[in-house]
Amino acid sequence: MPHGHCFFWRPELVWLHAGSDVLIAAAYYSIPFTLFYVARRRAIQMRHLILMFAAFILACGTTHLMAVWNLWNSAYRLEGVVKAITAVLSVSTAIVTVKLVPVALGMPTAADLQQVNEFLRQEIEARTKAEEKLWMMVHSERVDSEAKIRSFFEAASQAIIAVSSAGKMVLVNRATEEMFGYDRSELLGQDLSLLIPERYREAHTKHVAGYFANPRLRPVGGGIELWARRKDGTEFPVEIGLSHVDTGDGPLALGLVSDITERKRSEDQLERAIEELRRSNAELEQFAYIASHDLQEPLRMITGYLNILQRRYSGRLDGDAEEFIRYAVDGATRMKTMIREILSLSRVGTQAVNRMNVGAGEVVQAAIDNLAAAIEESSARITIDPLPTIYADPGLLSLVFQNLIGNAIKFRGEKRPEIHIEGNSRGRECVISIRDNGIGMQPEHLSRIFLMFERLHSNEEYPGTGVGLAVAKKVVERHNGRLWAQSKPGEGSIFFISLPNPDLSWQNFREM
Amino acid sequence: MPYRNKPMPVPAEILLVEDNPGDIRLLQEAFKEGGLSCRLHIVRDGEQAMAFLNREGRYAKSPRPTLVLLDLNLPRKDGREVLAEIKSEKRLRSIPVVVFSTSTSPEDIDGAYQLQANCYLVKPGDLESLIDLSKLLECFWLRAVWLPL
Repeated sequence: MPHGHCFFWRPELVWLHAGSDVLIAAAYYSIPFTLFYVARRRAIQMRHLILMFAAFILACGTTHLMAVWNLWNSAYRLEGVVKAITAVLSVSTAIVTVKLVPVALGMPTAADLQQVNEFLRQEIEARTKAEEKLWMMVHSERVDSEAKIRSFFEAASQAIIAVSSAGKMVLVNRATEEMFGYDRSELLGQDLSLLIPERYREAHTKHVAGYFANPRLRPVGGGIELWARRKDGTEFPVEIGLSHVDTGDGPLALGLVSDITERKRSEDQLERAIEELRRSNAELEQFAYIASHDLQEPLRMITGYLNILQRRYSGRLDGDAEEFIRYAVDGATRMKTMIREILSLSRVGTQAVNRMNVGAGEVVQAAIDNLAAAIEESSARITIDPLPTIYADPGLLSLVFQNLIGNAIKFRGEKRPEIHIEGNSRGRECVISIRDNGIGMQPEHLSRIFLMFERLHSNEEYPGTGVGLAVAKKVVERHNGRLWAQSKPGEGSIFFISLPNPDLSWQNFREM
Repeated sequence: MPYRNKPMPVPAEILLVEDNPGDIRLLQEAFKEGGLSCRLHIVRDGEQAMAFLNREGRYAKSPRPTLVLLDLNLPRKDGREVLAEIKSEKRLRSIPVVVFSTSTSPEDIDGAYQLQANCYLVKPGDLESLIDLSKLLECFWLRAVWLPL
């Protein structure tokens, strides 16, 4: 029978129970919807727990609805089933809730979160302050170093110009202003060709473009020489060192400009001095050549007719006359030899030196071949160590060896001449020595012997004109080498020839 | 005739073209001392040389020289010009021309041969050498060498 029966159908009791149960059910039904709403809006963890709660609350609500229903009905079985379902749900929910207690306890409360927030906020504030400070430091340092660099830039003695890839000047220093006579406001933003005489501007623009296309470091000294133009129109020679800088705003070419007017002037002077020397040298040598050539004719007359006198009148003149004529002829003959040797010396000075890599051994051998007669006559013994390769004119140098070896044979003492030739190449130079066991020389004579016509002996003691060593020295000097001697009287002498080695000799140095 | 016999040496006629009287006399003495049998005809400059060779004027009766001894440095007409002329004229170029000069410069020597000098001699400084050279000249050019007719 309906539950209202229990209340004797007293209306106040029935409506009290019904009203309360309805309200409770309404509340129990509304809560899950609210929960769903929240759960959906906020992706809260434990969604399934919320769903369980919702289900449990819904079930509870449904039991109260059943109670209302059964006030007038007696669907007690249905009410029982609903209650059973609710029981299951509530027990499971209780169990799950218990399980989640530790988690719930671990979840930060609002106060926790607020605390963390506050902490983070403070941290951020501190960090921001630190950042600001750092930035200010960096900024001021950068300003300092910029100022420093700028002061270097301005203090530089060379003009420095930075040019953009469009050929415009973007940076110049004080030296630039002074060198060209412009104020920098007149230069910045202008095309670099403003500083170049008009006739070169086109080529220059091409070079600038070329440089940006293919930038290579061009240091000062190995650099580019150009003509530059000042504000007042005067032109002057400059040398430019180029380098390339990649800035944030694009590539820049940095040019160091040096005014080389002085250097050019010195170069010109040097050039002219060399030319003058060369010319005067050539004149002198030509003079020597002509003089010695022209002197031969009168000499021929003197010698020839003295000879005729000797032949024609031999026997018909007294002993004195014959002796006089003999001295005259002798003098003339010696003069002829001297003139011939002056001629050969002057030729050494003028003719070209054709240098090549040649074995010194070959050159020495050629000289020895030419001295065959003297060697045989004196039974001279010549030993030659392996000799290095030299860079020299073989013809001229064999003359030198011929002279030196010839002297070694000629100025022999009592002993059989023994001559030793050796040499080696050491770094920049190659030294060859010719040692003999002849009569030697006093040390004070060692430099005199190389002078023209200087002799240490009379012609009767040892024949000769005193020109050979002068010629030899001249030849060696034309090879940029040196010739010198060491000696011990009575023991012998050593003559040294030093020649520069090709890689390091100044092949580009103009020969005089 | 199938072949010619070398003719017996007759006194050769040598034309000496030389302007220096000292050198002329010296050569004459050298020929004498050397016992040379040839006859020396002497002209003192290039113009006279050509006149002699072309038998002009006072040289109308002159013989055709067997050999010409030619100095290079002559007044009026230079020895090089004479050489060039002789060697370009058909009638004269078969005459051997021996250049007899003081110069040893390669330019002069090469130049002479370029102009087709038969050979080049340098005047020696003393008599002995001159005598030797003269004998050599005779020995080679006038005895050994077969000359054109």
